[in-house]
Amino acid sequence: MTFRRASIAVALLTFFIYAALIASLTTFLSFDTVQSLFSSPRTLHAIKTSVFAATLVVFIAGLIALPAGFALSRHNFAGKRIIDTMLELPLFVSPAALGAMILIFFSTSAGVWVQENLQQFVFTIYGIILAQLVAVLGVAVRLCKAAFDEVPPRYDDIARSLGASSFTAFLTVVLPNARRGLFAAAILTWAKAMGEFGATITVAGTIAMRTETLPVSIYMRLASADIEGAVGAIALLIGVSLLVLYFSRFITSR
Amino acid sequence: MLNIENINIVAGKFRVQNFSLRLQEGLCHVLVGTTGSGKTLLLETIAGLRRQESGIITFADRNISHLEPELRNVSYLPQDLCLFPNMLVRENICYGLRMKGIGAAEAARRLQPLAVSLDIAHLLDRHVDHLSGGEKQRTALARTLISDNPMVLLDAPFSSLNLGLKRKLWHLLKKMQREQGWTLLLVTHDLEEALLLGDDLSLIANGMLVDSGPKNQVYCYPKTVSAACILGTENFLPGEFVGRSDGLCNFHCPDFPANLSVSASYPTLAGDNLDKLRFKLGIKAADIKLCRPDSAGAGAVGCCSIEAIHEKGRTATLVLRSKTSNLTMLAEVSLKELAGHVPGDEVGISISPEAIMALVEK
Repeated sequence: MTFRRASIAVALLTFFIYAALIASLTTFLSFDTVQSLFSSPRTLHAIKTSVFAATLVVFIAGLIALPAGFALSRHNFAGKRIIDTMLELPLFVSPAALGAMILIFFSTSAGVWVQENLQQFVFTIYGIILAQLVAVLGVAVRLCKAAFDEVPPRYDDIARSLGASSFTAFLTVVLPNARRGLFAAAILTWAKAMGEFGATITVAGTIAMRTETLPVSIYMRLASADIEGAVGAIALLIGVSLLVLYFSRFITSR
Repeated sequence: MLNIENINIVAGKFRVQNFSLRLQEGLCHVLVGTTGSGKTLLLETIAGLRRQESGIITFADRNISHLEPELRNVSYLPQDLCLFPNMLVRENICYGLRMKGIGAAEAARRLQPLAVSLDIAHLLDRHVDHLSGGEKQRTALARTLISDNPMVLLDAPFSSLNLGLKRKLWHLLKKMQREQGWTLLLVTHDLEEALLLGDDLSLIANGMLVDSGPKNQVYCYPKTVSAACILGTENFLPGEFVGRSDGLCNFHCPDFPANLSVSASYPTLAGDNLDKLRFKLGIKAADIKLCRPDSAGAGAVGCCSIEAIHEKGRTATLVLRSKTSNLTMLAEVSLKELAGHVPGDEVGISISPEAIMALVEK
């Protein structure tokens, strides 16, 4: 067997592992389950909460990740290596631990001041947004940096020699040439935020019709032995995420 | 006038050291050097894309050493062109004008004749990814020239073009430079291009200025082996000064079968104490003429055997070996002058004293 065939076989195997898991859902999935799921205000609220929070998180993370990723891609400065390492914190610290760290912060005097004077985060939808943001921000910055790395720094230089300020060169040359990578970064960040569970449940809890996202909904249904409901919610999460990922890939490939 | 004073530039382990250069306003100054000699580094520093460690760059009596690139009013064409892939050819060319706040109507007015001159008018609405190497080069040249900045830096602007187009564009660039009064600093490896476009010529090797001055002076009278190498001299013979006679300086060349004479008007031969200097005599392959081996009294300076003949169109390059030493020399002669000689034949060679360079070794 050639290496080409072997590598394709492994790629297919990866697909079949996930495909088999998805196919196994059909054991508990029926038309009635799907119908009752979509007619349930609780499920619709969980979908709305998930989509709203994940989308908002993408925008907030983007505002931070774009300049941060650009700085890490283009400039050398003191502490760059430490920052670069810290971006991987959400990858090696479990999401539940991240959530616990957020809770611990809010029990400090600074955290208490924030909660009392600025915004209540714990057990609110703001807590969901904060937990998801903390969980995805490092990855978002890393993905943006990778997108900017794809654009040669010479473009910035030449744009500046033609009269553009560094910010104008960023807007007119760097950003448009990094657009595919940045779009892919946004989609992956959105997908990761949609599926975030550990930090969310730790910070925002499991209050039905208030802080229940789709992953939290799956957990709550499983905990109450509602297997069919859990399967429906899983199918919904997979369906929404795959649909968005598929269309985003379709758009970026054009 | 651009004045570079004692600048030092560091790029990894490579340094451009104590480099000074003065460019006359409105003239074309050509910088020629070996690969990796620091030419591009120098251009990038003038354009503001790199910071020098020390030294000053002034342009029109203004110190531009620490100005941001966008404030220098210097147009720069990089060797790697760097066309922006997210823009059409038209947008690429007009980018600099847009950055200067020049309106679309004025940009179009400037673009059209330039695009016609550079033969890219039919490409204006194409994406740059769909251009050939030569088309990209002309687009990048148009982008550099359209801004009409008083100082223009061009790094090998014609390297991807065929000879015919190259020659046409040399004349166009020369005409534009004279009409617009640009001060032009051009980097090239092509000596024909350097001599045709340049008013002044500078030679650079290993990050140091080797020679600089009016092009004919620098090209015809190189003073060092390094300068002669950059200018394409193929043959070098160690020579000891033995005396003057009849407007000539005579040299004894241990590797060569006879003494060689150099015109006493050669710049390095002015003054006394020539016997204390170490010389190498430089001879271009094209300046070696073949004659009969027995015509000693009729101008032959030595006798060699032909080791190899490499024909190239109407001329041939010969590898000649001295009869008395292991010295090999290259000669370029016309096929007519070669007159049916084959490898192994013995020939006489003659070299005019005016064609021999007296190069000082340091």
